Amino acid sequence: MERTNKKPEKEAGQPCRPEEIEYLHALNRLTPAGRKRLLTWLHVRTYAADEPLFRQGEPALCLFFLLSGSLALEADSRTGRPDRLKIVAPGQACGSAALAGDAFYGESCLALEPSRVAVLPQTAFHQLLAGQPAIAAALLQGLLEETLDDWRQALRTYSGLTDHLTRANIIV
Amino acid sequence: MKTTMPIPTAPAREESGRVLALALIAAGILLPLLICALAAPPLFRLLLFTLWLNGLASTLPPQPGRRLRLGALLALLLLALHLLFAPLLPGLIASAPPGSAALISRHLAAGRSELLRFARELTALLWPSTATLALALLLAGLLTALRPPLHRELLRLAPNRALTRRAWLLRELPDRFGRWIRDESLRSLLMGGLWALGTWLLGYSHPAAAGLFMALAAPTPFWGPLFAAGLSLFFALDPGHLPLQAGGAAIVFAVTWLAAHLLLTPRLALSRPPLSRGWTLLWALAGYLCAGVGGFFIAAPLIAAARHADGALHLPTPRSCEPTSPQSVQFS
Repeated sequence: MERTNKKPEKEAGQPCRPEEIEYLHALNRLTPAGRKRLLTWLHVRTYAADEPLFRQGEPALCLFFLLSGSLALEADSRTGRPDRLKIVAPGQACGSAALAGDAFYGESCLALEPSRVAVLPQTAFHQLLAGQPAIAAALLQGLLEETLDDWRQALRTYSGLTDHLTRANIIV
Repeated sequence: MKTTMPIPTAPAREESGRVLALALIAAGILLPLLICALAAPPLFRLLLFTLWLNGLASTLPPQPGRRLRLGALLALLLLALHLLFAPLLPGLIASAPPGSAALISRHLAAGRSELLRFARELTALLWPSTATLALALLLAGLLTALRPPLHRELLRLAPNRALTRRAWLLRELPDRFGRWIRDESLRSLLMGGLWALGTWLLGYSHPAAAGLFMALAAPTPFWGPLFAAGLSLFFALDPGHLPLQAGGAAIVFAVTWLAAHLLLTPRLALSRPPLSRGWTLLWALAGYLCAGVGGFFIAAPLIAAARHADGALHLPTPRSCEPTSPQSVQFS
């Protein structure tokens, strides 16, 4: 994986195009009209390798959809070395704590390579919830499906590891 | 390879930057307002009412239809009330009673005439014409309608490293100030109205001015209503009636205070930033020393506004920011 410390070409966000959000898993349940409505609130940002998108403990105010590149979710641990929780692949979302109200990010997120993300601010979700609840519900359902997939994957990994250690008589 | 991701702390540079930003915001808002108040009172009135109405508008319900209906209804109500009271209220507040000059000069002359002069100047400075109020309503409505696209654009233009801070600022500033302006306006309306009614029933010479002082003092926690009640004694009819009217005023004050606390405080407690009574009194007295009665009235609201601006500039941290094990961390 190539890592460079070059600054991103453009610091500010760029308008988002419809074809860019076509393959986002969390937006699967949205109708084309709903996507179009959501598009007005989205903007695209470019992050350099190692650049953080958000840090653990910051107020969760933006939801990110990865368009290209890769991101890592890491949690601080007592040992001082961050625990890497997940690698986010293109099409996936991160920072969904932003939709939970007054929440804080439970982990840090940083770009592993130059990455492009679409950003949805929390305010947009609140506006949708008030004005077009069907779109907000579809977005929440899509995110819930994605979170459930993550959870199943984590459980599968964890139970496989437990099984392996039990068979090896390391834990009884 | 970057291996550590420390929990963010507030370094000294960030703190000093926050203080500088706060000072710049204060200077950027207060100085133009002060210059306008001195040089162009109509523009000052327009700016003040636009800010006030814009703050109130930000607390309207988020549903577009309900927001529009309620906003239009309140705007019409405000215009109607203004048209109703415009020929009556400023005169009622500021005029000296005809024929009582001798009495004033003999008994409560200094205090009463000073207060009436202040009330007259304040009314002349703040009371808007119907056209100014209509224009302020129009501007506030326009700002409310433009807020979502403006918000989007400001957020889009933020650099990557400032995205969370900008999103926090754009969410918190209108939210905090809107709730604060709405709640203090309600408090002022209730306390000022009850106090004017009570002093009118007690036969005070200028109940409207007494109500105005109570309304202006209501945003100063604890000390403001006490100060306004003390000032109102200057409007007692004459020294002979003073003990009776002061006793009555104590009862009216208790009723006003209780009404504000029982009806409003439980609902509105969160919008007022925490200020200790000692500091509030010191600030208010400092304001009084600098700018007289008007200084007393605006000192505490200025501090409250600064506290709100500071809260909006400062990113909060969770109560417990202990490093967590991967099992207890929620995916985001």
